Amino acid sequence: MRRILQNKLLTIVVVLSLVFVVFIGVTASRKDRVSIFEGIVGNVITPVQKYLYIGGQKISNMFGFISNISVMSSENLELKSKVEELEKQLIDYQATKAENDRLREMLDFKNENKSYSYLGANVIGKGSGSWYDVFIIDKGSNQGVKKFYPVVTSKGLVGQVMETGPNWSKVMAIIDENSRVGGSVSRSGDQGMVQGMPGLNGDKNCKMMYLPVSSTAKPGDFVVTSGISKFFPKNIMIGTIVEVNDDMSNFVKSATIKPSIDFTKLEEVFIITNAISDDDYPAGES
Amino acid sequence: MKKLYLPLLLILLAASQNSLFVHLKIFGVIPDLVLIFDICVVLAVGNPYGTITAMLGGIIVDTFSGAPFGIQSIGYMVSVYLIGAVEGKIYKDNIFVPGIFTFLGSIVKESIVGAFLYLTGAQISFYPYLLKFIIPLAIYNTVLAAIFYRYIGKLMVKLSLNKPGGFNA
Repeated sequence: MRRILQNKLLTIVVVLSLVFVVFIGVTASRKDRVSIFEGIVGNVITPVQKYLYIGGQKISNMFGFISNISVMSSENLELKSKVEELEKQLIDYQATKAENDRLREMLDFKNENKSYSYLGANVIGKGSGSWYDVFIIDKGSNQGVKKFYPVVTSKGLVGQVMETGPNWSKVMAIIDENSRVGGSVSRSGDQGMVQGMPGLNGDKNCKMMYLPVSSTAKPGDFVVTSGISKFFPKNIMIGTIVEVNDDMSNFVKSATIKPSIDFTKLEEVFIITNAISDDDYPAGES
Repeated sequence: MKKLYLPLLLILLAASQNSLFVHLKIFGVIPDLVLIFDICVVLAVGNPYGTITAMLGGIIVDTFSGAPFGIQSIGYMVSVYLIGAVEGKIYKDNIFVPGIFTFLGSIVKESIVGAFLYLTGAQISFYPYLLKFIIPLAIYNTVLAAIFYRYIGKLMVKLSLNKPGGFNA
């Protein structure tokens, strides 16, 4: 029985194979191979396939993620080192750009004030006693720097040399409480004495003392060097008035000045080497 | 009613083969789930049911193959028929039997398909087709068949399709 069934089945298989060969011959020559039957079956299967395909994609992604962990780990390390390298380059670039901007401004300042002789210097330290009030620069007596020489940047007055070594000098900033500079309100011409004010590091201002009671100085006015003091040339920017106070008991006014220079970011300065004439230079201080 | 499960299962397998397993390629090949199922069925149930299942599976796969209609059907039908013709002469409870039949069945089926594709104008080189496609596919199918043979056999028992003396769940 089984043999008969097998032979019968073999016949069916052969016949069906011939039928399929005919199908193959017909459909092989057709460019559009989608028959009605194929269309019906396709309509049934396509929605199922859609979800299976999405599911398969998720499984594949999961396996891909797992198999790529070691690769990702080494890639991560490589990328981290690249990021560090690029960050260093960025920092270098920003520092170079900032330096370039400062030097350009200083060059402009130098060109605008050609009557003076300038000696460029770098700030190499800050005095430990009063953190932002005394600076150490890399030029000293060997380069011709003398005590009392004024120190400026393109933004304005920094202070004056208070001590010199062979290749270094200490500069007292105008925000130091011991600093005294003759100042003038540029709009009204009122004159006074500018000195440092006590305050927190990085947030120190100056005070302009002894302004006349009739002074019209007001917040926003610029204060420059008056030239009365023989140690500072005239018209160098000191800062901007932020507050004016009446000191009626002494019949004077005073003003709080925000320096034009940010002393927390001071890097390059100019020493004016010919601002003080030999006649004006204090005896015994050479 | 139970007999309707098989066509539905074939449709699900064909759909899985074309979608889910596209992302689970090994050696660059997608396993032939329909063939694995057909071979397991013919080993568990025998002919003519195995050959009919194979023909049905072939028609479903043909629908999506993009190749001339009938190539897959002939491949499935002939390869499964041949396995069905000899299955009664061997001891099938050995775990290697479904694996060996699947390996050989895969080679026969893909050779038939390859031959018809070649005759209908496909650019097929025999050795690359054999080494890069048929053999990896046969290995992949063999592994899956070894894993799923028992489950498919149990399914046949549940569907009351197993023959006396056939697969013992």
